[in-house]
Amino acid sequence: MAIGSKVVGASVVAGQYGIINPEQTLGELSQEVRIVDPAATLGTIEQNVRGIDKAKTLVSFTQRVLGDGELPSDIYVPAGYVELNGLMLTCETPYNNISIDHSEGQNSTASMNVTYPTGAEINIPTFHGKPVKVLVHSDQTDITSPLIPLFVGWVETAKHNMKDQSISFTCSDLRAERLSREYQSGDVPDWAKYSKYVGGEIEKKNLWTAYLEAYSGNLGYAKDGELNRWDWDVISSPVDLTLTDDDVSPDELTTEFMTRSSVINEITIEGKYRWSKLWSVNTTVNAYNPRNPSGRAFDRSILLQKVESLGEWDLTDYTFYNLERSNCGFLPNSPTICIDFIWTAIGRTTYSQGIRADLVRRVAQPISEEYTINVNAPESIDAYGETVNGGTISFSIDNNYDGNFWETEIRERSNFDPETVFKPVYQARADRLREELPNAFDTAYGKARRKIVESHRQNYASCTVNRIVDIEVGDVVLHDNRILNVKGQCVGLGYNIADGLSTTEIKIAFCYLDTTETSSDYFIQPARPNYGPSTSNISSSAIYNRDSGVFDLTIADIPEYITDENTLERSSGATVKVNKTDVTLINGY
Amino acid sequence: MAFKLYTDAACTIPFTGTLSFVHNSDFSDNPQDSVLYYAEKELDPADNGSYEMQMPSGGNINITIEDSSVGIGHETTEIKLALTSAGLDTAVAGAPLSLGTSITSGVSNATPIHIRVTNAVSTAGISTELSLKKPETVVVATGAA
Repeated sequence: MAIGSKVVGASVVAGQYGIINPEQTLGELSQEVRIVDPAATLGTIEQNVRGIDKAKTLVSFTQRVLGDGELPSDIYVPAGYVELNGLMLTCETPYNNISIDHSEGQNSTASMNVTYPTGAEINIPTFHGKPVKVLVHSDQTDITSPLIPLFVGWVETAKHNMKDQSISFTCSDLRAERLSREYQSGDVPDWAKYSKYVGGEIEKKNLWTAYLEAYSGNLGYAKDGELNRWDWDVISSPVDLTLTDDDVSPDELTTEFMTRSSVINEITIEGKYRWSKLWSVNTTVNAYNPRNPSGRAFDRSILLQKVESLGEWDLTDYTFYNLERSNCGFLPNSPTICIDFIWTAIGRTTYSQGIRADLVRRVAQPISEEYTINVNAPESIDAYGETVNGGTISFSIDNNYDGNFWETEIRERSNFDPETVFKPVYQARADRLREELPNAFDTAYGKARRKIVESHRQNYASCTVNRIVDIEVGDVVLHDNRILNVKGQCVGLGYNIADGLSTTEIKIAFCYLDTTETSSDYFIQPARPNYGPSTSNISSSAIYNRDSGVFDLTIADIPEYITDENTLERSSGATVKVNKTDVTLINGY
Repeated sequence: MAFKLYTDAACTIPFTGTLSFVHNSDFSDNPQDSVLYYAEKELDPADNGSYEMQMPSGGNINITIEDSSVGIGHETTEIKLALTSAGLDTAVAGAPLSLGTSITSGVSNATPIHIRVTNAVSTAGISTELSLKKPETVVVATGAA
């Protein structure tokens, strides 16, 4: 890059690029004064969001009228009631073999067989797709005791069989369909963690599954049809049901331990976050050549024009080196009288010996932050003596920032000042998705925790109690009997009602580990890697070329550590507790 | 989360949905009273009165008595509703119960719903035709904390 002009001794030629121009009007200046109306708050918008509580039945009455002279104690207590589409199926419509199954993570189901009178027209609308409720007395010896529901759902299938003139119904609580409606608003519930960067863009009807993926627990509907949610941490929860020797038949009690190959005690989280660091790279051009002996001076306007036109560099400040008086040393025979025609008041403001110019250039540098978090279960690692990695949960957040705005387009702003152009708001725009990062980490940790806890929750104890037991899936059950002593969580509940038969099958899940190690759920957000400064200075040079009479300017290349994408890595750890419990198992009576 | 019925004033025992009565056919055990408590404690566990239930367009929240088989069996006139036990004596049989223009969340603000059933059916049998229903309402934040 060459800047400057030639000046030839006494026969002064001012400027390399032209003769000194006389004073003249260069143009008219148009000025418009505008009244500034400052920013102000015109008003406040108050918005009150209301939750909708739908119309519904609060109370269903069941009224039994006794016959003349009958006493409640005379009444045979039905093993159960089936209410179909609001009507109680009484003994005039016998039914038998009511089976109900509640299993964690599944639709609850019920099945029954209803015998209709011979010749009667079956009223199909009374059952097709209609609501079903199965109820029993809380005290199955007392007709006056309250009715408790064992199942609330809808008829799924109905199969008429002429052989026994009955209809076999299967019913479902439509768990998945109802949960889909329950959570399709898109409002993330307090107990859930969801990030679209971790779980993907989920259809609204499937949001509930995404919420569950990062939750160590489960969702379902209780026996009365109400929404139910429970954590998998049974250790710190009170016991809802204790099964003693009086409850459990040893012949129907089984205990099953998890398979070794299903153990997962470590999950890796890999998170990537990409943003742009907005650099301001500074340099100084220092071009100076003395007047003597060459006699050369340089037109200030041309010097300035040149430093203002250095491509992507913007001029922030400059200073001219003052014109020096010539001693005519460039003339032969060193004349005794030296007349310097540009050494005038005008000349001294028109010419100079060089310029010192401060320049700045903006660079938007992509930064890629790569986080690795190892989530593990110390109790399990100690028990099994091995770290069993169950896979990686990955996510990526990219701001996709267009660096062109910072590097060039910003010059088009009406108030552009290269010296003060940097504002925190610009950097914030290039990093605007950082606020999504904590939620992404929380969601990923939640998913890891669920996988690890779930894999350790596959020890089961199953028993049959010869009565109706009023508990829910998710309740905490303590086996405290001769055979088994363990605290677990109900994952399966089965009711069977038939002539002379009312039983409850209870399946619990628990975590057993042979270790005294303890752990906790521990996770903190990883610290942001150090990304260094965003300003830098690079060197430039300006050397006067005697042959060409101009300055040869060299600005160093922007170094790669500023222009190239920079990857910053950060590793950390987190732990999970698997809610282990002690187990005592006796073989025999 | 929504306002629910409980069987105790402390709102620890959720109501399962079915209120069962056994009646003598000679009406000798009439009437039979029961009470349930309508409260929202899950949204407002600290009992701060943080939420209110209101009708969407204003007006009273009315609990109505419904009969799925009008003219047959038990009728709505067997049921009386009141906000107090003494109120059952003067309540109109079959009439809706007004909870007022709003009810407030929290256990301490639970609304008691007193129910009196006077059987009028003399034929032995079992029926589930009567029920109590609430209309669609809205739940708004009061700003109390």
